[in-house]
Amino acid sequence: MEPQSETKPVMDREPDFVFLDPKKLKLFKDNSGRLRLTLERDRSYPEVKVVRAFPLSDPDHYLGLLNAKDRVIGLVADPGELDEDSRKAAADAVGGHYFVPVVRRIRSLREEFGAIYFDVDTDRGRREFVAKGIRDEMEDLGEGELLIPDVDGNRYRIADWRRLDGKSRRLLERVV
Amino acid sequence: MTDHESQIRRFLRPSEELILLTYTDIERGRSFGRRWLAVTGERVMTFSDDGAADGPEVEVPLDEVKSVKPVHLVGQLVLEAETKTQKVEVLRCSNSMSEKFGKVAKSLNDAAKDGTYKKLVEMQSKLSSITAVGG
Repeated sequence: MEPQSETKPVMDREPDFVFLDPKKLKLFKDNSGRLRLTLERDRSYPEVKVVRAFPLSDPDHYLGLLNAKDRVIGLVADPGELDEDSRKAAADAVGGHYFVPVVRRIRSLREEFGAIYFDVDTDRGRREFVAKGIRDEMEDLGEGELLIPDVDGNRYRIADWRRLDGKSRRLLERVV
Repeated sequence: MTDHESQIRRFLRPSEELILLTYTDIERGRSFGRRWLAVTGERVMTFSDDGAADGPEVEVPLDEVKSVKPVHLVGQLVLEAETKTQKVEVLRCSNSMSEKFGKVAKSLNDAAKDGTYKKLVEMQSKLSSITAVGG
């Protein structure tokens, strides 16, 4: 008799996330200000957080829903499929989670002893910050997108440096 | 006394003592801008930079506070107070001020747990140096 070949699992273990059906969940704030999640005919979570699975490469899709202990409940692939109230609640929660200002214009930039002093206009208002070792620390995300960390651990995003105004571009090109 | 301090003092009750007054660098609308944190022996309050005369934006009585904690998010810190009935976002700051407000959160939390005025006075002395920097 031929020995039966062993059946091998496709994966060593189950994936530690599940995709949630956006049509069968409700996100809403309760009276205490906490964001709640109810999965239809399943369960309810009294406090959840909403984060982006791919905050840089695909910020508009793949929202992760976490419980109060930061454990993943599941992923919503397309938040656009949520009902309107849930979509607004998710957008508000995820919007409040990230603070990565987008640089619109560089007003001035000067380099002293390896530190670069930026004065910029961002989508969150005007800001001055100091960056060090920018040539090593700056992240080039491709397609002109840059992330500039400052000395305090803040990060500033340039959506596409090629589309900045001429002065901003010239200032930036001096240091990167 | 600065203009802001005198405006904020107008909202204190006769017996209320201002223990801490400092500012954060993110305003309520989540843009860069000053927002004032005022702590008295009775309340935690925030005031907008250009609307301090309009009264507090957030007001939490200290005797209702169960805990205060710093919540570290991406690029910012949120100071969150939990009362018996709700969670209240007191303020936000960028990472540039997260160390300062981490200390504020700890001191407020200690005061909330202890329930004594003494803790807040200690907080004032602990924070005197950074309060000077932060305004």
